Order: sequence, then structure tokens, then C-alpha cells
Amino acid sequence: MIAMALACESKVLIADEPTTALDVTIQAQIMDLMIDLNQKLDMGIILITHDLGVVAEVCSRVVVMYLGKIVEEAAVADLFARPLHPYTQGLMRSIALLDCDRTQPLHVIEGTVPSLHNVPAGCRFAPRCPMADDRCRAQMPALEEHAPGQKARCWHAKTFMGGQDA
Amino acid sequence: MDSQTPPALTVMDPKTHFRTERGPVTAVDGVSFTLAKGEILGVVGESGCGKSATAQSILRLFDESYTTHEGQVWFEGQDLLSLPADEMHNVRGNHISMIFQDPLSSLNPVYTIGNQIAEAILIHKNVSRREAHARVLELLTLTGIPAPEKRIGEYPHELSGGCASG
Repeated sequence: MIAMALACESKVLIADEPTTALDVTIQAQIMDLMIDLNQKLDMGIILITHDLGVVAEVCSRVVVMYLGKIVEEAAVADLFARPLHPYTQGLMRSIALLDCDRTQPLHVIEGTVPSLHNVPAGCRFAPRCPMADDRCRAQMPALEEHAPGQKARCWHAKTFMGGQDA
Repeated sequence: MDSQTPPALTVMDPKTHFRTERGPVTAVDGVSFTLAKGEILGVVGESGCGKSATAQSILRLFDESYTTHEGQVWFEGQDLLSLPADEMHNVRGNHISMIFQDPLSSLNPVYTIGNQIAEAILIHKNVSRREAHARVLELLTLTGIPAPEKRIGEYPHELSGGCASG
């Protein structure tokens, strides 16, 4: 598959969960190969994944999506240092770490992604969000830049920055 | 955005609507982003958030009899969403490549690996069959597949998952 994608030395490669079904050793080889091509051929890569670990390792920037919309966009270091959307925060807390407290259950984001036939009013994440209030359930927030290069679609993003809600 | 080097890809307010039996849905709703030259951009989110739909919309892989696109996808000075189908055909695989989820089901079971990769080269590049074959061998070696000269004549079911990805 990858050889086929590389056959014409494209300028852009879209990789949709390229390593999802593979075990970690092969995963690492495939990621190394993609990084190699990115560097040798200056190939721009859009890496679609649900694995934040992979993102931390190979990406420079990341877009977080929820129900068809971008909820956060940031440089990888900023996203991991200070996620500004409760969905991103939930994703990060759901990662099992080697040194985590094993007596505590791993965090899960309650509920499931709603159907596109049934899009919630207001912020799309509100029904699953621990921060949700009446405004969240009524009005969709815009994707706004809260720090240089870091955008989030959340009414409460300013609180996560250490300030007051907008 | 760096004004010196134009981005490899600029996706501007794309919307992808599907006509379904249960009414219209908008799977991609204004997922705007840019991909810089040589950048690796991560797109994350749960299953069903529209990551793959965004990717497939960029290459217009959905059946356009039930899909409508809005917005623009700028690549090398042209908007891919308004390109005629035959020009879009030239962009796919030649200038923008895609690695799909689940490599085994994305390979055609009745063609050998060699022929499938060679097909991509023969469609897009003006080369002889012999040259294409040599290039396939080179690509399989590049992707780190063991015994490429043997693999080239095999069918997808003869490969392991990792090999199919490669």
C-alpha cells in the first residue's frame, strides 16, 4: 500500500490510520519510513489517527476533530502542554501511562459520538462535556485563537488559560 | 502562515454533505487547515468524527451522485473541488497519494502486488512496463519489505498485514 502511494513521489501524502491494525514493531517501522520520506522528499503528510502517542512522536502540528468540526488546533508541544478544549483534555486523560496509578480506573469520556442525523444544538461536545453550561447547550462557540498558533472552539477556553470565561 | 513558501495544501471551509435514506448529513463541516511543505500534520478524534471523510473529500473519493462538496481545496494553484473529473484523476496518486485504513481490503485480490503498484506508475508516468517493474522493485525495497523480488509476484492474500501496509 505504501509503496503504491509512493510510486509517483507525490508532494502530499494522506495517511488514514496507516498503522492501526498492525503490531507495535511494524507500526514503528512504518512511521520511521514515513518520517524518512517526509525528510528526503519534503513530502507533506496528513496523518489521520486516533493515537495521540503517534501524533506526539511524528507530527509538528495537530488538528483535533469532533463530529465534523475542528475543536482544537495547535503545535504538538502546546497541545500536550496545555489542551484548551475539554474534548482534547479528555482524550489525553484517556491514555494509559506506564507510571499511572493502577488503583484508579482509567479516565473515559462519557457517552459516544452522536449520530450526524442528531447533531446537538450549541456546542456539539456539550452533552458529553463536564464543563457544559446553558450557553454551551445553546450556542456553538467559534474556533478562536487563544494563544499564538493555538485555536480552540470552547466558551471556557480562557479558564484553561488561567483567566476568566469570555 | 509563512508568506515565502506557499503551503502544500490549503483547505478552506470544506463541507461534505451526503444524501442518505434518513435525510441529509454534513460529515465534514468547515474543517479548514493548511499543510505546509514538508510538514506532518496530525488529525485526531474518535471514530465517526469525520477524519476519514475529510481526507476522502480532499481527493473527492466519494460517489458524487450522493455527495456534494462546498468550500475549496487549493493545491498548486488550483481548486481541487472545482476541477473536472479527468484532471482530478491526474492529481490522485500522481500529486497527492493516500494510504487507506485496512491495507488488505484496499488491495485488489486478483492482481499481483507488482502489477498493482506498476499500474499506478503506468497510469501517471510515461514509462515502459520494464521500467515500471524496476521501479516497483525499488519501492518495495525502500519500504523495507523482505525479499521484494519474491513479493512482487505474490497476491495480497499471501502477504502479512505489515507487508500489505508496506
